[in-house]
Amino acid sequence: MRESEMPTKPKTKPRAGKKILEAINEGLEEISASFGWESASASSVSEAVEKSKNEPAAVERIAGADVMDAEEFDADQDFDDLYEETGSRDGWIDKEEVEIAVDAFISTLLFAGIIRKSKSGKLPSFEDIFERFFDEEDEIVELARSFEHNIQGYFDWISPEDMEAARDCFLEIRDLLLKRLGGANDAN
Amino acid sequence: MPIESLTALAIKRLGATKVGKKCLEESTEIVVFGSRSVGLERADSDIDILCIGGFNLKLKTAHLDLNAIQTKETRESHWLNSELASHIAEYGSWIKGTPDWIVRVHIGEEAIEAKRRRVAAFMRALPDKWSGLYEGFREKYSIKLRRETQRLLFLERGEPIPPTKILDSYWKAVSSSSCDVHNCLRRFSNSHRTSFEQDLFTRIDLAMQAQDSANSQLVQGATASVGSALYWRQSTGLTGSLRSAISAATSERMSFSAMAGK
Repeated sequence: MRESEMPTKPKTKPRAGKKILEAINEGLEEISASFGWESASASSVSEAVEKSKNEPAAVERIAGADVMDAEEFDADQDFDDLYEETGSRDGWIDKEEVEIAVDAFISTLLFAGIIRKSKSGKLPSFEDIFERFFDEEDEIVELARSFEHNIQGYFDWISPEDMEAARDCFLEIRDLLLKRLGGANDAN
Repeated sequence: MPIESLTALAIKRLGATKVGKKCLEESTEIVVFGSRSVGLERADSDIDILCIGGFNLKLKTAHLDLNAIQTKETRESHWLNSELASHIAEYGSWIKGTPDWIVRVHIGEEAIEAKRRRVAAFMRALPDKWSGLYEGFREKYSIKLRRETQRLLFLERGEPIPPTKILDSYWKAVSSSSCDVHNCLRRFSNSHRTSFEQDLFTRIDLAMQAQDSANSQLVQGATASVGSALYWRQSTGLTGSLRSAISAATSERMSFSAMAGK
């Protein structure tokens, strides 16, 4: 049998050791802390989403989904004031802020040499990080995939429900990672 | 791309997925929009399709970006005043059905406000994270912010947003001022002259300079034709539809190709 015809050994993934798990966990904690996801129970975020649904003008600013009464909106209003008012509204987080926080987390892992760009120069995604260290069928990879799907939205718009689903996936990933980190500590 | 070829491509891409087939069979209207609709696509571009019928779904693959909405939605102001509806009404190519809703499309204040909010969110969150972002991500956000600001400027002028290729390659041909992107971004900036802002504006300037350089080197083909048509429209002060200028230019490219073929 020629060498080229020999069955190739499947590439083994690098084991997600304690140091890697710690680095990923640290990054996830930073993200969740910056959005208050760490302390927020599922119900408190649900309440915030529910509350925002009951505020027509607020929902409009969040989602761009319904029609705002033109008379209620002063187009010349100073934007800084507008965003200061709405930016920190109860529990609401803009999709863009999450996207930037996730990319900052990936950047930290890139700078630390824990992950690398692809050979074609493509930067890794959130999902790629977990695919790199865990099996394709691993629950944590599925959750990372769901997180990316939910946070992606469509035409730059994301519904409050999708944002809540993304947050839930994120917190589940963190919980799973913490459990595995506990397991890694026990093993050492 | 002639409408027959565009239709064939849309049918092929939709037919490759289960939900796409369902859309083909059940939709009353199928519209191709984005770069392929106006002949400004790259070879590896996906195809953007809107299907109007009895159900809602979204599907994104490497070759297809599909959005299906219900017919009743096309009568709602939420849709009629949206950024997407105005883009499709101006740049869409209908491969099935006849639209009756496009005459009622009007860019609403809520669409403009949604875009302002998006630009503001980037400008609020990026300064603190900028120094910690990997170079590739800084480049990504500088492109994203430039494009979103350009789109905001279009929406504020009451004009539908054009395909991204126009934003990336012919901004000076469709813009009223060379520094309008900077000025617009400054409206959302809390702290002027930060290193983030300086770096962002430098990157945007470099992108604009690269447009000039690329345009000056082009002598023929679709890209040059589009550029010529847009610059002609700008320099003559004509306010005709941007789509008309692009269509005329890409038709010119087709005639040129047909002649070259002979």
